[in-house]
Amino acid sequence: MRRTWIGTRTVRVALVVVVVAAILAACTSTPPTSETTSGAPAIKRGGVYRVGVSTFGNTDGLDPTGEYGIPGWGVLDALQRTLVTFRFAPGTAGTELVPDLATEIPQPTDGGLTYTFQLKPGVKFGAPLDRPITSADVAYAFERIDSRPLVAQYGFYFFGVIQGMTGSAPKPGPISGIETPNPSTIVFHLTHPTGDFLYRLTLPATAPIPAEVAKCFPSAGGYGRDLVASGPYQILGSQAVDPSSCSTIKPMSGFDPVRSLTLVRNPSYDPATDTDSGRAAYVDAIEITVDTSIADIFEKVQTGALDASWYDLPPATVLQHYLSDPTLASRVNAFPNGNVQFISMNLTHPPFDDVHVRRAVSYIIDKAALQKSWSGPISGDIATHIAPPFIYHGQLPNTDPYATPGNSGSLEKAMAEMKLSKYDPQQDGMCDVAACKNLVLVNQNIAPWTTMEPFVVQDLAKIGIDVKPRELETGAAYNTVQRVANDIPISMNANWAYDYADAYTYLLPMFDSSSIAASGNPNTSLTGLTASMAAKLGIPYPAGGVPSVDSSIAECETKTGDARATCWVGVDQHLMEDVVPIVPYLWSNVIVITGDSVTNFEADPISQGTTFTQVAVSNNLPAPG
Amino acid sequence: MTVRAQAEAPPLPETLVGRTYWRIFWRRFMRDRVAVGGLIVIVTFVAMAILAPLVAKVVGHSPNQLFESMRTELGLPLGPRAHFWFGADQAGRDLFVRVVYGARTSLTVSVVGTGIATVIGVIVGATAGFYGRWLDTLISRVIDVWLSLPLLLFAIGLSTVCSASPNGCLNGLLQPGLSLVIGIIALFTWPYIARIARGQVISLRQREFVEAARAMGVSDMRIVLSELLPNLVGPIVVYATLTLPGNILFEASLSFLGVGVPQSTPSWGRMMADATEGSLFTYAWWMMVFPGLFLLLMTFAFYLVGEGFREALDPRGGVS
Repeated sequence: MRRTWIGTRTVRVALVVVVVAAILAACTSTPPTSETTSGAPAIKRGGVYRVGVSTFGNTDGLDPTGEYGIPGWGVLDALQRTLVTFRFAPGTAGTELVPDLATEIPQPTDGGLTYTFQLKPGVKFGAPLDRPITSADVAYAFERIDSRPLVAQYGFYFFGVIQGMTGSAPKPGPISGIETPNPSTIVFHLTHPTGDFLYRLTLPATAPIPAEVAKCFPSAGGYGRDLVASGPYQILGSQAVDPSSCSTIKPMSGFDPVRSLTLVRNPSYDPATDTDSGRAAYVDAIEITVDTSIADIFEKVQTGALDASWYDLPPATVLQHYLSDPTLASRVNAFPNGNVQFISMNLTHPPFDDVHVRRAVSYIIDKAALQKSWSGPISGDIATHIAPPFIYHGQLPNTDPYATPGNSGSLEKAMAEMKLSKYDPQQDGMCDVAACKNLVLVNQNIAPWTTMEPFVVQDLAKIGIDVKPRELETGAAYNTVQRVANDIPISMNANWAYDYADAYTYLLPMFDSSSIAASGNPNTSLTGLTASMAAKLGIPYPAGGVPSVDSSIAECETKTGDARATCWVGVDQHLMEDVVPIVPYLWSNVIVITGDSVTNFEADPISQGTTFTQVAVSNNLPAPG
Repeated sequence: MTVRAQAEAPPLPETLVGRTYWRIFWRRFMRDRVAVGGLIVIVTFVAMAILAPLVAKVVGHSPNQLFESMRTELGLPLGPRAHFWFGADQAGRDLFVRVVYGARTSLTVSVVGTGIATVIGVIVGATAGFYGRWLDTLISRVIDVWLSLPLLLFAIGLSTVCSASPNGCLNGLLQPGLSLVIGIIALFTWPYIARIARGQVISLRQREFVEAARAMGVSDMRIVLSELLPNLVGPIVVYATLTLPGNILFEASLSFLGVGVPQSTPSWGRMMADATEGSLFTYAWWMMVFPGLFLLLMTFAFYLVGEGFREALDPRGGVS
């Protein structure tokens, strides 16, 4: 899970763009050449797309091998191409996997253990190399992932999956499970059939990396300032880098990790090699400026000094300003980002070791009030299960095992469930025992989490659960909850999203016992914990045990297509109805405010906020450099 | 001429009245109308703090009661109106009731924190001043080091560390919230009082009444408690009174920075911090104005009273 102050990932799927209808119609059908066949006005190319952001939030300095931050993935999406990618298109069209560097999407052979890709001819790296991309460059990206010093932050998608990849190599070197028989062929040998392996090849770390430059950066993060592009844009100043030796390579001038990033067109990029992905690359340049004042960013968007915000959530006051004015309302772009916000309960900690208590909590929470604390329906849909519906391709419609009138919670249902609990000896629908008093509730110390807190505290008190909120800085809140020894009974700081459009990226890290770790533990409910694991982690193990979904997840992991989605639906429902480790309350949206200079806007298929390759502006500004 | 001079001389009082030190102090203080005005404001705040539950009962809203009807569809709070005289906060709570309760927090934190600091400061300062020599040197250097610490940064760090652990600090002795803020205030206020106590004791310990007590074989402890402490009360009371408003602001600052009291405990600083989230105050001005006004009034009143105490205790302040 990537963490930022607003959440994690976005999705190409279900991009709900609320730009003016004419523009929307144009953007859904416009080919990269900007010509339209529908009769809608052609989208003008050129200009500079200027955005402000409170922080880059990079986790590895934009080095694709380790970068796991939301903004970083958005930028890498414009800079890089991968073997396969999700189509750059809004709506369901964006769920389609298409070849990118590869000539076609291969069918696995050898019982699902081997994938062979042919690379398109004529695809080249940008400055300063301007040379053809070969299979060795793709293989080198995996060698970097496998190198321990480079800290591939989501290498777990490949360790133990591709033969020979363990993440423990001292430096990039050959991997037994990856062959490059010739410059245009790469073969992956897996250890076991992995139904979503092709999805994993859309991740930015798998994009080709030239060894002659990247070898000069043997530790994590360094390569980000000299990233050699393969996509339609490159970092400003790429041409000035001298790659003749490591000592002559200086940081590209267009990237200051704390102030700004400027992307310009990559002259080595040939659109003729990129006919499947739908990349449009309308603008000549993208300027991203860090402005720590979020209010200032939105002020600048309003005055025209910036073209748009990026992934900072607009405050409710800003939304009020835009939505109350019919001439401005169309500039508010809200779209799902695949992020589920939830309250997590520790299955080993009384009273949450009793499923009836967990169900009672699920019934009592006023999700409508929480949604309003996030600025109301525009902030996202109320969550009724774990992964958002689009992940299941429509196989889990309107399922809510804890439905209440108006999503406002039901005291009656909650008390009825509580009466079934061992923690309600008086059978009055209230938790009567000491285990329900003075429970630490970890929360973030920023809005909207602080705004939600009194509602959660009040709701829990209605069924006799007395919590003591701890409002912590975002990072501290995560660290506290994710350190198992802290034995936090309940938390409301966390959220989760996907790395690619598959429920695996929610359900395995959140609920599989294999993801439980002493610190940095994403499975905060400790679903699947065993007695021996509890002993090692130094926490008490409940007499009634802890439910597990490990076998269900393992079964689904091997499936593909609709059968896979159906399988995941079953796991989600089982978790919600029988395990109840979390109370999901919101599938949150990303909200971007655009200025009147923006003539086309799309949500990003990979990162959170903006598809830089699909935006268009009318400002006619010249590209820098 | 003599007859005339006698006629112009001021009449002698019929009886001479002996006044105690404290009575003189009180007469002087009561003449200072500004300080008395401050005292009246403080008494009003104290009454408000004590009667807060009654106020809530009369209004019909508790400080943590949530009113969804007081939030717009976008979750923005609604402003002052009938039954919500100060409007609502971001969670739809009655701001008037919370502001009234906020007086409790400010007074509790500042009075208890300052009280603890005063006790520690007087004990440490009197010990250093009375015994002198190496003990005085040691304590004085510790105080110097303590005073050189960046107060706010240290407080934020301590508060964060104690909040990050589920059990607080010092085996649960310092729990995040009111007790932690009081602890932090006491921790950083005592050295100032200790310095004043030390200086006073050093000047007093050579005086005749102390020497006389020593000659009579009175124990050190008794000399300190019976002879020195009564003479320290004046300056310490003045200093503590002047410290109170600073500590009120300090609590507000910590709460404003998000490391003070939790939001279930109404605090003026916290309310103002909430108003700055997403520049909420540009829309919900009431969230900034009302708690800010009360905070200003209380600190100003304490400063006036403290200044009044100082002048009333000043021996150069004229004869009553």
